[in-house]
Amino acid sequence: MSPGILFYAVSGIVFLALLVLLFIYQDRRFVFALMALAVIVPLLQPFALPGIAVSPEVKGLYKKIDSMPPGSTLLLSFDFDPASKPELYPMAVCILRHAFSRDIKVVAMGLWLPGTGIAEEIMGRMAREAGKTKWEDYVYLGWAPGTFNVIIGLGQDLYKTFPKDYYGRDTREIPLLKKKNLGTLAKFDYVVCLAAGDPGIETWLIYGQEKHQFEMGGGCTSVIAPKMYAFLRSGQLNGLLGGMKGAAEYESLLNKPGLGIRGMDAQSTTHFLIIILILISNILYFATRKK
Amino acid sequence: MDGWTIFGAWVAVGLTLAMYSFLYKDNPIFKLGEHIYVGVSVGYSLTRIIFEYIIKKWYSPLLEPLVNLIREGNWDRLGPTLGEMKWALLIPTVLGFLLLTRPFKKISWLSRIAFAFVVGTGAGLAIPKIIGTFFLPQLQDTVRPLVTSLEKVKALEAAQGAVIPHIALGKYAVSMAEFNSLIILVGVICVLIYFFFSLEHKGIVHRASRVGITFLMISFGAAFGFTTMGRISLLIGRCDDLIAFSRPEYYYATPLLLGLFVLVLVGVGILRREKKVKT
Repeated sequence: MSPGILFYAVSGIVFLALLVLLFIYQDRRFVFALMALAVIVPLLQPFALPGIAVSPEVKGLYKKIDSMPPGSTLLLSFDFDPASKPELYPMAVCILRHAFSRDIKVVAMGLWLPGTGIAEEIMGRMAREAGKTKWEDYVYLGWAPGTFNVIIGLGQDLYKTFPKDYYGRDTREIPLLKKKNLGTLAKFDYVVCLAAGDPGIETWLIYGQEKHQFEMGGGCTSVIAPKMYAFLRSGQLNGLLGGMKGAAEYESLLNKPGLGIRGMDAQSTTHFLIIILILISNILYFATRKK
Repeated sequence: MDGWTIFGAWVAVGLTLAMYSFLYKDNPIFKLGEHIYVGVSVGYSLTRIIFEYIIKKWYSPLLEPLVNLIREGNWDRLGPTLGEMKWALLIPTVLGFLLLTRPFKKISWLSRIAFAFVVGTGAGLAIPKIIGTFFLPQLQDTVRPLVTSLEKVKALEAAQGAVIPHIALGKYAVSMAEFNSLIILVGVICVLIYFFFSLEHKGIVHRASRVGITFLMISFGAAFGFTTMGRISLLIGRCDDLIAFSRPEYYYATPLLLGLFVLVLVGVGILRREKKVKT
C-alpha cells in the first residue's frame, strides 16, 4: 500500500470515528474537528480532482488583460487587509503575473490602510519573479486617507492625491508616470479592484467609473461576490474573480497552480462534509419529531 | 531565511492557534491572543491616522512652515512663509473642533454645523453618482429585448470563448442570455410586489408575492452558499500557512506551539477542576 493511500485510509477511519463520536456525545466540537480534518487532509495530500471549469466572468478578466498590448497601463487597487488574504492574495498574484508577462505597466495603490504592507509584498515579489524594475515597470503608490475622496482626487490629479509613492519618492519624478502621462484615472487602459468590502468595487464604480467611463474588472471575496454579479451583467465590470474559486480558475488559465488550485480540493471536501451534516441533521430531526 | 521572517512565522502560528483554541472552550491563551489583536490593531490604526491624516494632511501644509520659521528665527521670511501656509485648511480645522463640542451641553449645538457640512457634502456627492451607477444601469439591464440579432449572439460567443445556447429565427435569435433576462424581469417585479404593502396580498398579488419570496429565498441561499465558501477559504488559508510553518526552516513552529498550547490547556483544565473541588 502506497503512503498516500495509507494516509487516506487512516484519515477516513479518523473521520468515521469523529462522526460516530458526534452522534454519541452531540458536541459541536466534533464538527470543528471534522471540519479541520476535511481541510487539512487534502492540503497535505491533494486528491487531484478533475480540472477546474473556467467561468465566463473569469475568462472576461483574463481575456481583457491578455488582449492589452505591451506597454499598456493597469491600475490595480488593493482594497483588502490580511484577514482576506487567502482569497485575494492568489488573485493579486495571478493578475500581476499575467500583466508582467505581457509587459503591461502596473500602478498599484490601496484604499485599505491595513493592506498596504501585504500589497507591497505582493508587488515586490511578483516584480522580482518577472524581472521588472521599480518606477520603470511598476509603481506602488501606497495608501492615502479619504476612501472615496481618493478616487475623486485621482480622477482630477494623481500627483496631488499621491504627492509621494509608498517609498517616499516624489510622484512627479517617477519615470513610468511621466513617460505614460498618467496624471488622471482616465489615462489608464484598465482598472482592476481587488476588494474585501467597502471601500471596494462599488466605491470605484460610483466615484470613478461613473464619471470617467474607464474599463474595469474586479476580484472580491466570496461574501460580496453575489452582489457584484449585477455589475457584470450590466457591463459595468467586464470580468470578475469571486473568492478562492475565481483565483483557482485564473491560475488554471495561466497554468500556474497556487493556493487557489491547492485550496479547491479542501473546498470540495468541506462542502461535501457540510452537505452530509445538513442531511443527517435533517433526517435525525424528522426522525425524532415523529417519536 | 532571516530571523525576522522566522519570528513572524512563530507569531502568526501562535496567534492562529490561540484564536482557534476558542473552539475547544474559552481559555487564557485565547484571551491573550484576543487582547494582542485588539491592542495591535488599535495601536496600528491610531499611529497611521496620526501620521497620515494629522501630520501629513494638516500639520505639514498648515503649521510646519510657521514652526520651521520660529525654530530658525529668520523673521525676514515671515511674508513668504505666510504665503506657503495652506490657510484653507483652517475651515476643516474649525469644523473638526466644532465636532468636539458634543460633550458640552451648552455649546453642543455648534457640532450640528459640522455634521450639516458632512451630511450635505456626502449626500451631494453620493446621491447623483449612486443613481448613475446603481439605479439607472441596473434598471436598463433589467428590461432587455427578448429577441436579439444572431450576429450579436455569435459575437458574444467569440468574446466569451464559449457556446451560448440559442434558437435561431432567421436573422434573429433567442438565446439563454435573453431567457435569463426574462427570469430577472419576473423576479424583480414579483419581489417589488412582495414589498408593496398598500394592497392586501390576495388573489394575483398574493401569487406574485409568493413568487417574489421564492426569488428572495433563492438569493439568500446563494448568498449564504458564497459566505460559507468564503469562510472555508479563510480556514484553508490559515491551515495552509500552519502547514507551511511546520517545516524545518521555520524550526517546526506549528507542531511545537500546538504541543505547548495543548499542555497549557490541560494544565489550566486541571487547575480549574482542583479549584472547583475546593469550592
